[in-house]
Amino acid sequence: MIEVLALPPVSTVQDLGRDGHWFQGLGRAGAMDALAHRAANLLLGNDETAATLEIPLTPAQFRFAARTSFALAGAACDATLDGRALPRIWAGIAEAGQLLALGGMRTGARIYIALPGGIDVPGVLGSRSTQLREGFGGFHGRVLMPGDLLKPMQADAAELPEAGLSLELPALWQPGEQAILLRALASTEHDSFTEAARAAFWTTPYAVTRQGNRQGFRLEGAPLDRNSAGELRSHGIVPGIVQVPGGGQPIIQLADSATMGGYPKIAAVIAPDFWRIAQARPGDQLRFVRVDVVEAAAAEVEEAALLEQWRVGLRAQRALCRSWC
Amino acid sequence: MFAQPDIDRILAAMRAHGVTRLEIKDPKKRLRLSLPPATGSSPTAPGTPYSAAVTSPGIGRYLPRGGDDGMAELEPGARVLAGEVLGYLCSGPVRRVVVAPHDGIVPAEWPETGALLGYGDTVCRLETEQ
Repeated sequence: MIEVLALPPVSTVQDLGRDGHWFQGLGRAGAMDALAHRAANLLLGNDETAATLEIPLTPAQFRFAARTSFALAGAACDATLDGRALPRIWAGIAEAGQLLALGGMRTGARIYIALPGGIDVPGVLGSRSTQLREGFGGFHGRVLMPGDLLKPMQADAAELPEAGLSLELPALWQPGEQAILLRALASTEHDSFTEAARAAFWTTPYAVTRQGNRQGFRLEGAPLDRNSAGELRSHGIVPGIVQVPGGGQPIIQLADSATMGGYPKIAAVIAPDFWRIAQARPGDQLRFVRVDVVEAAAAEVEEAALLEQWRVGLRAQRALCRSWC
Repeated sequence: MFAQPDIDRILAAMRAHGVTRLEIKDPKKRLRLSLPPATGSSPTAPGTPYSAAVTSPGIGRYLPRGGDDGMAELEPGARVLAGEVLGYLCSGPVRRVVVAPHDGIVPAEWPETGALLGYGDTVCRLETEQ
């Protein structure tokens, strides 16, 4: 069990989301960076769907009420356990009374904390994710506050080497790139934008502004004009959709995306790259790279292979730990 | 069961080769031996600096800290505290953490990044005081 000592009021309990209720107007929610969420769970031997704590703003402090294993994954934030510096991806044991401190984030924008078996919150409509807009799921349907206690689903600590385990995650920036690359498909109204707008969208960077949350990020860059004016009828939207309101500056819909919207859609970021958006900070540059559905499907296969490599590698380490540690 | 003379001989061999942990296991018996860090020289007085081996806790390819792990690189001559992360042993994407077994001074000599280390191999020698 861990007690929240200090935490900005924006952190929520999330899993991989609440699918299947789009038609009822209920969005998916779930971890913004599903890759870091899965990494934290896998390091502890948890099911990847187990609930973790998503922290989008630091500093933060937690105290362990009992001896337990935990995992940390995501942004680099000078995390310490009783003053001992931890790697940004780490799973190990905390003794009762030890203090976990997260400092300012230097690269990346979200940190995930996993506990053995997952964080013990009730499942609602098939998920433990916090549905912030509707006020249910997760930890009493709200953000975490100082004084809150998070319990693990399992009392026993995970099998881990004494000094802990870490994991290699893909790099946020590709070598030599100034911008974070996001692979995207052209969306329904793509061709209604001017040729100059389309060229700008696919070749120039867009900066992440401070106007961003779990619902979406507003971006700033070359304005995107359409050949035709006028509003569209509201239509279904999903996380990853890039909409362009009247001002010509794009918005990316994210994990707490609305289910309907009326702005024209120029593109849709593919799901394997959502984690890159989640880890982008205000001021970071994003650049969209056009892919087709075949390339998008290949990216999904690539991501599945990476996750399988993690699972196999961590299973092998746990087996070694059982006989050697 | 191991007889005491056998254990004494194994301990002597461990001391001679700078091995601090040894485990022998077969279906019927298991022996685990631990020694305090070996000394590079024989210090004669308290306060005399000596170097002690940091041994590999497993098998893997060496990766120094300070790459993509969000931690500062270790500068030779800097102080490290017991339990501080020194580097990793990588097996595919999985990294086993190597920590300082005691307080010490960061040495200049480290394995090459990617060097293969086995259980008990010396990762580095931390200079410390008696």
